[in-house]
Amino acid sequence: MGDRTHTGGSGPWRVLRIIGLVAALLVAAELALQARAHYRYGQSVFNMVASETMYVRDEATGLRLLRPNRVFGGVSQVIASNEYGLRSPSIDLKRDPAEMRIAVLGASTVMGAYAKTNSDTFPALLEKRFEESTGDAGVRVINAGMLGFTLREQHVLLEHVIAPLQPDVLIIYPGFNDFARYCMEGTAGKPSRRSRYRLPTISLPGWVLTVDLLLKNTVSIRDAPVIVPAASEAKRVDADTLDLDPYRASLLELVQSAKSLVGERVVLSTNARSFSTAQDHDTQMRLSETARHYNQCFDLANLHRVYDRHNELLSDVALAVGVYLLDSADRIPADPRYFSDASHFSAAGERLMADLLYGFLRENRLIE
Amino acid sequence: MGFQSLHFFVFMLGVFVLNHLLRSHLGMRKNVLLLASYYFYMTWDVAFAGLIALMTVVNFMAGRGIARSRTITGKRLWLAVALSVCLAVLAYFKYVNFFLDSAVSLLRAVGLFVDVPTLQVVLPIGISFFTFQSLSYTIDVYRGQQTQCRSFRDFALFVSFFPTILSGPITRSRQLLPQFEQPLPADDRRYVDGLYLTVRGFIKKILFADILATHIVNPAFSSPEQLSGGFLLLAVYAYSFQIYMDLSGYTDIARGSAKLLGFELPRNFDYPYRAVSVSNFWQRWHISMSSFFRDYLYFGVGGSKRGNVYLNLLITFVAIGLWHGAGWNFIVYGLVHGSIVGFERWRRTSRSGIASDRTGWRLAASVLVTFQIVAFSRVLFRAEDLQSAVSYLGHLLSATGGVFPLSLLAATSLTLAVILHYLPGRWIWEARDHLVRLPAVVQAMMIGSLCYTLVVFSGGEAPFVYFQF
Repeated sequence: MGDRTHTGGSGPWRVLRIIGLVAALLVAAELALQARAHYRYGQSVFNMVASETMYVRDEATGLRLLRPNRVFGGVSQVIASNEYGLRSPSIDLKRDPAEMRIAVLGASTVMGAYAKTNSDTFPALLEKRFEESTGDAGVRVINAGMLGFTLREQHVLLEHVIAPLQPDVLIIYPGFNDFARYCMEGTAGKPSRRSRYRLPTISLPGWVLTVDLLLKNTVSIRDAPVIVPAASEAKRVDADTLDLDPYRASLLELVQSAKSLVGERVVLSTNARSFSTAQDHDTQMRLSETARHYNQCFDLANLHRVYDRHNELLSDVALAVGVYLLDSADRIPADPRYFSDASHFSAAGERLMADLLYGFLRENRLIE
Repeated sequence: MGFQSLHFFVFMLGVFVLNHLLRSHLGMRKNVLLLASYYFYMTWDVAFAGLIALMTVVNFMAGRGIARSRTITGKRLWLAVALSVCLAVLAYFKYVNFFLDSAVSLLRAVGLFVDVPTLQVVLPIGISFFTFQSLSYTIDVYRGQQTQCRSFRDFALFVSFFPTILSGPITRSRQLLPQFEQPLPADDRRYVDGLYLTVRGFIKKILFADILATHIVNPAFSSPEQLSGGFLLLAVYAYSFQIYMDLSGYTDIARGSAKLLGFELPRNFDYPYRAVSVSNFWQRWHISMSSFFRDYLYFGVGGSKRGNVYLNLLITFVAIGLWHGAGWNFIVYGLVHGSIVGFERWRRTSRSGIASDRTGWRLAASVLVTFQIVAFSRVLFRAEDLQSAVSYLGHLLSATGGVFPLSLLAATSLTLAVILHYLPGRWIWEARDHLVRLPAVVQAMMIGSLCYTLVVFSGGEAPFVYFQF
């Protein structure tokens, strides 16, 4: 790969023309992806242009919720929001004395990341199960899951939006969004790049799909093969050294707040996932792709440890506070039939989770 | 701001357009380049931009002092001031903990126990490069090889010039300063060559250096005990190509960017793994750095004219090792190379015939042996410390089991890297000439595909290896 002076060409404008064409091609590809997203999900940068984005910041709570009373639809998914900005049917503040209300609090898994319609989410399926078994519509299930929510945001939602709806039972399926901070914080003990003060730089806006799609769908290409860690020394984080105290504190606050609202009728669920150590290595790598995309500082072994440690902590807190524990991680098989990616349910998974919850609530006489 | 970021693309495009529009306003053009260079560095680190300013002031003053001094004592005094300040700064930021740890170990060895806390010193990025680049000016003025630079702005731009500030190539003042006054003509080929070099640099970095690092080298050096001897051996060779593609990729991007702005930076590599001896390797590898040590240290301590030439070689190569990092592994790396270069020199002077005269299988054997020496000595370079290097070589020699997890991607990347390195240069030039003559749309599509490949394989931003030096 040596070099030699070139003898042909046509000046700075040729270079600018090439760069302009590259930019035009990249923009065209991005626009195509946006159009595809709009067609499939009814959500793209075009909504932003029309000031009709799917998510808006709720002024009262500061939370990023769905734009209230809208239907965002495409051929792959339809999301309808209620007056509170939740993916749930409309609910009156005033409740019928004969009605039982269950709220399922969580993040994208509860919201139904891959559920085609609102009625395909497990909270909606749970309501349907009660309806089918009792023959009336006496049990209402509120889907209080929101994409990207951490425990802190779930807590705010509980206090400001769910509490006024006076639920009888609260189910908490916490999700994985709190894990993101571990990789952002870097390796303990090593000076991070952020310890230097640097001038701000331009980065791609959050709505750009190209990079995210490319990265999400090519995780396996970047994987180092088999047993050895892919991440560099500087990036690798040992899951056993993670400080889980902030997570425990947030969880305790949330569960205690839930308990003060509905008494002991709080169900805390562990987080299920599609990959397990019982599977062969290649299967685990394939199924864990999205998890590794969002948690790039963990290799596979450490990713298992992160999930397991958090599930252990969820069990400990349920026991310590005195609420019900539903061990979804144990009861939903690590099987790709039930998951669309590392942790979000497929249609079969949504049904299984609804059945599991129905049985659990009945078994423990939380809903008579 | 890394070269692989959107920000660098926007920044470079802005500087390119401004630089072109101001081509007939030399003063304004230099102001823009100076501001852009400081801005570029401050996107890495604001505080240490002060260090560049310090080096600039000290060496500019020293150059002026040397030029104005009428006595050799005065000139020496100014040179001593510049050397002391620059080397003291470099020693503090890069070597203070190494020297403290070594001193403590030495005292412990003789029974004296002292407890010295480790200092939390953050290494300023590019310090080895901008220190040497600025010092080279002062030494050249002292030796009468460079006239005094009268414009502080030009000198400040020379020290901070953004394409070279992070990882070179270390450019001499006599190469770059005159170009600030008289940039390359705005002819067609300069721009096309600049773009070609930049694109080539990205290809080297992403499709070779990053893939080899992620798939072979990092796993091998992280967990040698889990891998087979064959894989560890492959990783030794892969590392040689990784580091070559990494640094030469960076150099290509730096040279390409500079060329787009109208400046010619020196070549840094000349097919290093085609070297027929270790001495020949150092004439082909990181040329701007090795020639710096040759001109300013080797000749300074006597070269082949004064003192013991073998000792002078050892001093030079140990300094080269230490320049790369503060650790005993780097010192041993320098000692190994210094000894071999010394041996080759002794052989040349005591026997007839030199390696470069060889042809056919003898030439091939020389290239192969030289590559083995270079590749295996680099274990010292890549390992965390001397103990890890020894441990790695131990695993390599004694491994009986372990796995050989070579992916198709890594195998393809390594094979292509080897083929491209040993292909006749003429073929590559011809391919390049064909590429740059393709219609603009086709070139744009190729560069666009490269952007996607960059995202896929880098998965973000993998830093260049030489940033740590």
